[in-house]
Amino acid sequence: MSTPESAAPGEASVPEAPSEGSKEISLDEFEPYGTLAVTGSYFVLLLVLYALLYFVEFATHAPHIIE
Amino acid sequence: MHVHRFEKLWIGLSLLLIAGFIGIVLFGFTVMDLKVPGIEEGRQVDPTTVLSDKEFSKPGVRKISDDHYEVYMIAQQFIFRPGSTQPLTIPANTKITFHMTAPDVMHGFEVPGSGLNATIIPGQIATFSTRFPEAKTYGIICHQYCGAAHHNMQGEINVVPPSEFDESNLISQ
Repeated sequence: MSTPESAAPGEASVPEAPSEGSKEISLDEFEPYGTLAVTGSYFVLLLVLYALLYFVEFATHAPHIIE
Repeated sequence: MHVHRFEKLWIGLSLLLIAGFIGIVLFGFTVMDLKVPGIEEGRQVDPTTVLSDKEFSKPGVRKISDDHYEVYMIAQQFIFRPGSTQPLTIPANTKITFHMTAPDVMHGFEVPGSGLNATIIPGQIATFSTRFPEAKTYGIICHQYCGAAHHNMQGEINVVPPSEFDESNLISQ
């Protein structure tokens, strides 16, 4: 016999009680430094590549459009 | 609404980035005085007759003054005239104004390793001015897909010292 929960697939199951060794924290206590590092390195990469594209490829000292 | 401080950080950085992009472009076009290729305003040509039209019937290099030459160039499937069968020879350290059009389909004009890049559209005359600071050979490639042999559409610019520039090949006005 199926239970009412399993009869409705896709519905969120009842949250389990916190197991031993885990604790609930507030939003401000959550500190995803790994995510910050990855996002930060992409940000720095974006700045470096933009500068390279703009100042080296576009605003170049090689022949460029003067008027 | 409560926003986590990390979220605040990267929302702020994203806004700074957008402001930075706009600022750099404004800096380029004001302080660095950068220019982009344009078209000759108010002048249209008929692609079906442009090959027998005024300057484009005799494409090549014309002299305006000792420090200013102009190049009328036809880009067509799959050559630049001048440029492909004969290299385009121009003097170094001299102002060169390009006027380019196409009788068939859209073409591109790019000199790799430089800031020279324009799109050549039938019916319009693409134009820009430049100076080649040193005497050396540059390539030209078509960067708009223009047909089956697009990948073979290339040319050469031969920049020579002004003292060695042979004026006998100029197109007379």
